[in-house]
Amino acid sequence: MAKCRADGYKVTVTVVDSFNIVKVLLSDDGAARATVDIGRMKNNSVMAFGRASGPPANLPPGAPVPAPLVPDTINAMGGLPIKVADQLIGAVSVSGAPGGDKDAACASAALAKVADKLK
Amino acid sequence: MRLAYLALFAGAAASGSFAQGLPTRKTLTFDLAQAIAQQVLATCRADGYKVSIRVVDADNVVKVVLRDDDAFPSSEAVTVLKATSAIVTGKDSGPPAGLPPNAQPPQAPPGMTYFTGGLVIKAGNQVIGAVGVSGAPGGDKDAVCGAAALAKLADRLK
Repeated sequence: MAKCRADGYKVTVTVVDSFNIVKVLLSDDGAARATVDIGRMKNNSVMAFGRASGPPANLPPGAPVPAPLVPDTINAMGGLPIKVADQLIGAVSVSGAPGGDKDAACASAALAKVADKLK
Repeated sequence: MRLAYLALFAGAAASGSFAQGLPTRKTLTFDLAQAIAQQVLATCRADGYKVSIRVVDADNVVKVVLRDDDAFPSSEAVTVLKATSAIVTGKDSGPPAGLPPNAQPPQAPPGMTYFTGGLVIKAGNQVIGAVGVSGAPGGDKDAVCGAAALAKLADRLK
């Protein structure tokens, strides 16, 4: 949240535990209402597939991103797994920046800051 | 657009009345919502309860959710019902008035609950949001630590 504010983005940050149940949700002033829903979908994507949310890995360059196959997931960036070693202990999603790549940048910067707590 | 608004308010102010302009209302900021949630969490922890907390604005749009370690998983869903009840009724959640003592409350409307633990956040007489607390053994205890936390932040709610 602090990182996104510094970048000038109004976002919703959602953290879920290993059961995909919300631990923390922070929705900044001016973050669009849909960011709460999109944040949930990004976390669902991470928890369903065990990887960062985003377009399918084998997508040919330039191809349009397909609609997600699993209900309530989304093929947009901005959801990241929270891992201790190889174990998935939760997920964090960011939604609200103009572009999933910018959401993901905030989230990964934040995770990098707490990296030494994730051991 | 911004200029148009300014002109509108300037005109209303000049005429000494907002009757012609758009009404203004106080809003619950993210920073205050976060302060409230943290205060409720700290107060409930001090009482020995592990709770989930949901702070919503006057439109029942979520601002902050916190779920303490060991707060039971469905407590987060209960906070949604409690916050919705407070916003919809404009008062703290609880059994309907006029219920005979020891009577079982009727089924609450969909998305709402008759449990206590949903508290309106007021600035003066105006409801600017609500906080739902769930996880203590009994809605009354949820409401107590919620109310204690709101009382501590009273000077920011003016």
